[in-house]
Amino acid sequence: MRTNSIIILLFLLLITGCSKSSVSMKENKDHTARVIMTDHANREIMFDDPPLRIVSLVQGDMEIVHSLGAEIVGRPTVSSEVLPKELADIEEVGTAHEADFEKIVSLKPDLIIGHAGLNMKDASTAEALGLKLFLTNSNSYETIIEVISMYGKILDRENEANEMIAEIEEKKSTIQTKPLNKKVKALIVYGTTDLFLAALPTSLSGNLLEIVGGENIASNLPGIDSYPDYAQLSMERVIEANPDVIYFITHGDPDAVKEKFKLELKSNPAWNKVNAFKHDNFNFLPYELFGTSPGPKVADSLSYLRESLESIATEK
Amino acid sequence: MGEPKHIDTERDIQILNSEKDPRTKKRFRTLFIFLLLCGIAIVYGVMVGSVSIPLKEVWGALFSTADTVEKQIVWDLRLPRLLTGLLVGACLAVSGALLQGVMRNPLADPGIIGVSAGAGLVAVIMMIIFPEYIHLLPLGAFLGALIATFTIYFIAWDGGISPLRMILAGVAINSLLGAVMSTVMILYSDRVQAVLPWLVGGLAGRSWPHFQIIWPYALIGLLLSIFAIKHANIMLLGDEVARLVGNKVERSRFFLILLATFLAGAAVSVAGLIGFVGLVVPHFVRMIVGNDYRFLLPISALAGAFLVAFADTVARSWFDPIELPVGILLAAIGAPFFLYLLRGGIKGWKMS
Amino acid sequence: MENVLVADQLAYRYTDTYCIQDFSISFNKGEMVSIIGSNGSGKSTVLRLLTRLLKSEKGTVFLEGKMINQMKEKDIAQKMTMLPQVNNHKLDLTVRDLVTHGRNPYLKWFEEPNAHHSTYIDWALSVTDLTKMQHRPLQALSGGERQRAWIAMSIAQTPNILILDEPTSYLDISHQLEVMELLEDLNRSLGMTIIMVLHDLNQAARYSDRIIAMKNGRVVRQGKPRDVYDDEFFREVFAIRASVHLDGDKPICTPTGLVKENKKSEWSNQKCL
Repeated sequence: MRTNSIIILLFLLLITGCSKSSVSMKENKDHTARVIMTDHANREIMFDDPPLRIVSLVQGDMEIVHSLGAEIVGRPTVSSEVLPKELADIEEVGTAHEADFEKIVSLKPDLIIGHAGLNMKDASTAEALGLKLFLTNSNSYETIIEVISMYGKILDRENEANEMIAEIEEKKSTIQTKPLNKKVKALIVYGTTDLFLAALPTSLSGNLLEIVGGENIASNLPGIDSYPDYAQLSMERVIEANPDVIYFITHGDPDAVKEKFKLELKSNPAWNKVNAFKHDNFNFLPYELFGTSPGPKVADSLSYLRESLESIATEK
Repeated sequence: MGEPKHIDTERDIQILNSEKDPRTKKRFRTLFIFLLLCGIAIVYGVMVGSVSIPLKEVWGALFSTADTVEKQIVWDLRLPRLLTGLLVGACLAVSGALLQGVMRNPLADPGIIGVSAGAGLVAVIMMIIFPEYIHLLPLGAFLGALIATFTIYFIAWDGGISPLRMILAGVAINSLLGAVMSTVMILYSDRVQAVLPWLVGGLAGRSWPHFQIIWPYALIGLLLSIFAIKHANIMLLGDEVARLVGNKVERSRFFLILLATFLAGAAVSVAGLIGFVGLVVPHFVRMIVGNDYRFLLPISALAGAFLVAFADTVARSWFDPIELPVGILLAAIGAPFFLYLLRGGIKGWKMS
Repeated sequence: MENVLVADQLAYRYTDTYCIQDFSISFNKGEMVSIIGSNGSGKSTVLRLLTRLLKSEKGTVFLEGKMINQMKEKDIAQKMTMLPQVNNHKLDLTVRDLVTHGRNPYLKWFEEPNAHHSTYIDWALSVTDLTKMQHRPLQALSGGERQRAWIAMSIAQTPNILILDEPTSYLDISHQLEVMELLEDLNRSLGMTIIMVLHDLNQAARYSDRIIAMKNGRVVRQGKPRDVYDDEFFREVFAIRASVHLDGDKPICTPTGLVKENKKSEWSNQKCL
């Protein structure tokens, strides 16, 4: 029995002894930095000088930073078609899911921009490498504006940032001053041929839909607010809510996704009562404007969605 | 019974009557080969990567004090990742070897005692619902593994543990935890993306902090497994004989399972759910050196270490610009290899 | 005579019709005893109860005067061991590896055998005449050699009491005698108490000081072979007719036929309560 207790003690010692968190901010607290910024993962990041060489794992943020005039030295691995010419040629450093730290280190960045949900796991590695990691999560119009303003401060380009914000806000208020002819009930489907998710008001596209005056049928469903940004909806609920238009966001083959979704709707006998079917209102939302954070293009996202809603509101 | 088989030539008779255990030479040779392979894996792993660094500079980076980018890549990225991979592989393989002995079942692996399901569930919940505590993920996954195993152990307990009941309880608990995990993943489908790399297992982005998490656990676990060798060997004689030579079978079994969980939990906590290593490596080693844990255990540790470290190097460098999670690569190699062992080698299974 | 192993009122129940109840027996130091009886008479169960592989529901086993339940596993294993009936033939071990396990009762959980233990291992190998084959894998041995290897492991424990469950089953006649002579030698030269279950009645008679006959979980007869073996005994215990004649003072029996009209005896068809 004695050996028993020794072993148990040993294990306990290990479990408790090794559990001390290895993540700690080693920043010097006495010293006052030029800017201290709290990112979306609630980490305080200090900046003495504006970062000059920036690696971004997030496309939208990269475009913001680029528009503010800072130098991007590493970009996420995404299809280059959706990027401005001058960004497409920049070195790729992997995705937010699998960042290639060897490449990142070799680019000697002053700042790495990551996704608050996906790149939190890389925080300890970045710290061990002495790299500054700033995490954002642009899941609404408000956060995009906030992120622009944060980069303005970090990069010491507040004027440019304020200009950018003013421009976007102006477009938004123009859109919002004019109400739609009539209510448009919309559903935004995010997915692949295997999985359809409805964008809730807390998601970026759901948020944009609300801003331009559309009515999100997913938000009227009972108990939906306890879910995060997207949720799986039963087709029965969709038919019951009777949307005027159904939007699709996908990075798969858009037509295949649309046909599969229609097929599933049609399995319910009441499908032909759905307004979206009457006018064949099954539209796509461009992935770079709605699927991921559009960054400075958020005004384009708003106008795109608004135009689409207007054309539906004027039908009969 | 009759006369001994396969004794055809005088040479065979000489071998049988030799002064030493005739397999000793082969066993030490295998041990040496895997030691060498581990060395090769380290050298190769330090040399290659998505940023190509000439060999001369790799050498310089390792031993110079200058703070260059090359030094950072080699010293802070490639080396800790390799060392982590070596430990993960060794832990998983030793864990699998112990479990196959304790359960007397060739298909036993860390998954069957709930390590994967327990760690997986905790990890999924932490990553999806409480992402702000993600820095505690390794600890959470480790505790999840331990709790799941204890649950299975106590459900299977009925005045003693029969390996069969433990396996059945394991299947039940695994599917229950799997169901809970799937539910969480469906309810939060938009965040599943963050979890997937962890669920298939990988070492991407691992650096010194991760190595610092695993090494104390791995060291203690591997050291304790030296003491497990004798007990694992006695267990092979069967419960009755083990008791008759004075072994407390239930106690030995409990500590062997605990040790296996501990090792697998340590591996899972930094590398995610890497499969097949715990199943295939001990199996493969057993075919070469036999069942004697004095050799099976250390050689499995080396073979597992080599496999994971080397496969991870391959996964991050051969498919550039894409980096595969090493778990996917191992499953892709492991599954067909296991089928091959099964077809050609089930006769070689000398356990039960 | 000193009683080295005493079972006092043991009870064990498999099913409602098959059980052992109120079972008491004792063994003397240096004795060579055979337990005989038909299949299902409870012989192996008794051996397992004596060696605490099965836990008795009632009663106690005393090993050299101590209650076995209060002894440590290793202390028991130093004094008494058993060779179970069918051993795993697929074990991937050499003879020496197997015999080395016999030293386990003398080792702490973290200890490996040292030179001191090696002398016992060498001794056990030489007694069983396996020294030359000590590095052969068990699989490369004949049945008799393999059985000797298992006995070598048991005697490496240097027990005072060695229990064997059908040590000669599945062996051809010369290997059977090889094993029996070895056991007799261990008994004569080392004074080891040997308790075995045997199926061969003539071997039991030839090598045992005492015969214990069991039926339906009870001892029905016991004593010197020549006192036990008679017509009544064979009819009662095995339901056969047999003629018995003496070779020296050892009885030899030749079965001559089954008993057709099975007279109800006081021991048959016992019900468990």
